[in-house]
Amino acid sequence: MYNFLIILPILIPIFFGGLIPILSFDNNTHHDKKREIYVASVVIINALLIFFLLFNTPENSITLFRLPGNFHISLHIDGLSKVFMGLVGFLWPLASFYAFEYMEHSENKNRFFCLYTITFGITCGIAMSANLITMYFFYELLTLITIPLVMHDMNKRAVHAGIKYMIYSIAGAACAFAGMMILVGETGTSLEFKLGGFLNNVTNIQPHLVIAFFLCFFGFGVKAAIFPLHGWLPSAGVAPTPVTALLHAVAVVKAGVFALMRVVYFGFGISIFKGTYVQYIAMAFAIWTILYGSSMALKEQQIKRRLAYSTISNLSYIVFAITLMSSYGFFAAMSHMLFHGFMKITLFFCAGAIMHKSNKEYIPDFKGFARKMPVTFATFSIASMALTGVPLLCGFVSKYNIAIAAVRENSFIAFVGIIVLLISAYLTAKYLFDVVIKAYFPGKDFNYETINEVEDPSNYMKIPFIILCIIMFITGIYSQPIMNFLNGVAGNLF
Amino acid sequence: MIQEVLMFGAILIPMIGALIIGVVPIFKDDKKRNICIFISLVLTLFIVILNCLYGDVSVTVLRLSEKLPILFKKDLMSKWFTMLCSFMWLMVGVFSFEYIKHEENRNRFYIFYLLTLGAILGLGFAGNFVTLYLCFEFMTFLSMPLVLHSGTKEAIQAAKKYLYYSIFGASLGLLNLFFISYYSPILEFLPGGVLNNISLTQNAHTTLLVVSFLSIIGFGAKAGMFPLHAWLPTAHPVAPAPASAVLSGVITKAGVLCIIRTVYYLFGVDFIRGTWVQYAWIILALITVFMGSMLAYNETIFKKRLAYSSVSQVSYILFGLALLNKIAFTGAMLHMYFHSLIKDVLFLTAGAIIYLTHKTNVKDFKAMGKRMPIVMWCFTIASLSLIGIPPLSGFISKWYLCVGSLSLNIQPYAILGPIVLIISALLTAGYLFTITINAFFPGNDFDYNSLEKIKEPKLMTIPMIILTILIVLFGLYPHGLLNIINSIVGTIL
Repeated sequence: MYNFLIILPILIPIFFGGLIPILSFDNNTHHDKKREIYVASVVIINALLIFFLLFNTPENSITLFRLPGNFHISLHIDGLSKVFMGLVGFLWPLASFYAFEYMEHSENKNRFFCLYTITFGITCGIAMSANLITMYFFYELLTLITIPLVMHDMNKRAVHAGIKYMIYSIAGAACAFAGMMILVGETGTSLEFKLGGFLNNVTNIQPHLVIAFFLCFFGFGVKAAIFPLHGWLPSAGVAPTPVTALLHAVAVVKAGVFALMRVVYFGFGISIFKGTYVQYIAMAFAIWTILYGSSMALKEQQIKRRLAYSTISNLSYIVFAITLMSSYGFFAAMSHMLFHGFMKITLFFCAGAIMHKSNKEYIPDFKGFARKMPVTFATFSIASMALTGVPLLCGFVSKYNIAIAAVRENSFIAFVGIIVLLISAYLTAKYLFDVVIKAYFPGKDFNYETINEVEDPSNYMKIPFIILCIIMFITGIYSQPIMNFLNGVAGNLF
Repeated sequence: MIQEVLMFGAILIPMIGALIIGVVPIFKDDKKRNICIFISLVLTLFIVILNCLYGDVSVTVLRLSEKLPILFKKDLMSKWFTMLCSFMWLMVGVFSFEYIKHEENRNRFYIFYLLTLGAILGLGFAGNFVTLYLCFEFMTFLSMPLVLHSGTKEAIQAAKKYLYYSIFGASLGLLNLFFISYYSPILEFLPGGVLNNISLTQNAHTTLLVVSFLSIIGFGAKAGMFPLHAWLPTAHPVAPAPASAVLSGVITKAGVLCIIRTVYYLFGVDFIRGTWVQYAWIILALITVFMGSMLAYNETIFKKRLAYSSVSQVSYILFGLALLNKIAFTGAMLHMYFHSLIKDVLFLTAGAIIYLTHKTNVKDFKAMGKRMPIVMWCFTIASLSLIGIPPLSGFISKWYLCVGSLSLNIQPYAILGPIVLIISALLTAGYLFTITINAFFPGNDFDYNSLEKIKEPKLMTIPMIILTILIVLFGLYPHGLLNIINSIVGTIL
């Protein structure tokens, strides 16, 4: 009976977000306030709706419209959709509040918030797609709608980054499309997602299936920033921080790994490539990206680019878990997808707060900031510990899951993966605690007078920090309910 | 009920003490703060002693996820270890009241000093590997500010080095958790290991051996074992003397404890005995023993020399553990206590010399024995003990180590051990005795008139004297300790 509700999380943000330019909020404080209330209410209502749907899920799928042939655009909520939607629905309101303060001095706020809100709807569309065609449709929309967000500052660097992002994404999507077409030819169905995939009756690996797999893997892998297709992500860091935080730590990149999960576990299925060279090649790329991302992060001195490389590395943790092609791997991938979302958005938020308040973006300039921005740096330290994998925080649980999933595989390359995970954890500690130590212990002769103007941000930013810290802590010490849920999604492993 | 309260009391009291110092403004005053610290240290020691009198207990605090319980457990090993920590912390704490006067940010130092004690006691009481790892990480994070305390560029670099080495080591150790929890359903430390009744395939066996070796290397970082020893000589000289005393005397032993837990309580001795892991471990430990002594011999900065000496001496303990037999284990456990006592005395004398004369190079220690007799006498007795001269305590532990090594039936390791230990003892004599001789017999041409006697503060000398007395007493009457070790050995070997 709630069936029609499925479409609302997509339509509400798109419709009301699209209204923002028409409502013509001017660029003054009074109108700023109005716009903030408007955007906040749209986002919060949508988030509430999402959570309502998570707990009262309609059983059936609905078809929006039919394309020629056997294709149709249809929506359905299953377990994996819930995971992604829950993550997005929880983080979007926080990021919006954060954006209100961050964007206060920026121009073109109408355009920004319009696109920002519309993106929310499209991300929900990706989450709820019932088949590969629908997902592809929303996936392309996501690329198009986020390009102006990346370019927001409209200076040379931003435009360049936007174009780079566009080329990478469109090329990736084209590859994925080609892969999809091969699948359509093979199965003759409309590629409806179901756990276990739609290639059940294929037993031997045929070359065109391998090609299709790699086209899809690397095609969707662009957004998941698999080496060598990661180049757009660090460049896209020129976008305003709310965009980087939400899109490049949560929505866009997670849409990439989400799509990979759909392709591997709901499309090709895990049985056909498991234990073959196809799996090993995919794993090797993931493992290499983990190392590469962490090492590059260590080298990078600009805070947002460092975090972007860290994202590349952590996304490949998820990709590595996906390519294990086991139910446990799927489970681990989902848990890291959730928890990495919390951790990385927190880190980006902190970086944004620092840049916003001090106009400094290079790490050596952060000396002594912790005394001036205690809340921000306390949050940053907690998130760093979480990402490094200190127990009692959420990162430990998800990394543990990935490692256990790899141990279960009992193959050499999986063991290499575990070792790389540990090395990467060490590198993570190195590139994050470097910042923390600089900020807390600037050294003996440091003169605090030089950073007098630096201070903690206002409550719009601080409250998201505190909420995220609490979430990281709670999910770290008591992850049982979430793990049970993910376990159900992955097909009742234990 | 009382038992659980006591166990968590031991962990929490230092933390509460740190909180009080940090939050209540009255304790900005040095004198009041020192009283508060003294009370929390004494209280902690008292509760740890009470803990030792009561029996074993185990409590699951929470579950991170289904197979990740945070579990604290008290057994003989944790009693042995926590006793050492809390006692040393009290002694060094008392010493530091005087020493710290010439440092800045004193409150910060003491906050982290107490927090580290809480973490290390938690490590002692950890009942399974996750908890151990948790406390290990926190111990690293909380002790790092002790290293960088002075805030100079070198200190910050050294602290980073310490942090990264420890985290890397801990990550290697974490492999244990992943693999053991896959192969074995038991999620806690068990005397004799958790792999006993589990049939393993050949592949699994090989994998687990590699894992055990990597985690020994990993935790060996904290204990200063080759090849991850390099942080120790960097971190100890720059840290304030009380910090280097606990780092070297106690925190390196935390690495030893982790290895004991890994080898004797997770994998089990039977799993490792006679495999390449044991031999490689013996070799690494012996290399470290020799290398540490050599480097100490060549070093003239006093604290750096002591740091190299720690590298060498802690590997005596690891060597004893690697032999996997009763006698050597006894020797290792004894050396854990004795080295801690001795090295703390040595670092405290180094601290006293730096504090009173600002001299760091051993070449400047001429006639120091005439200027500060109590300090140098303590130094001399501790050195004698470290070299292993009877009837001081160092002799007993080394005796057990050598006998344990000779009772091993695998050549050439059995004979190699005592040879390296004896060479290292000679080198120890070389790098410690020269200082004593220089300090007491400056030579004929020395101008005694220029000598001014230095007043040695009581707060500094009393802990030194107590520790020195213990060094002598344990050498004469080791039976009490031996009885305790025997009951530990009975459960795991």
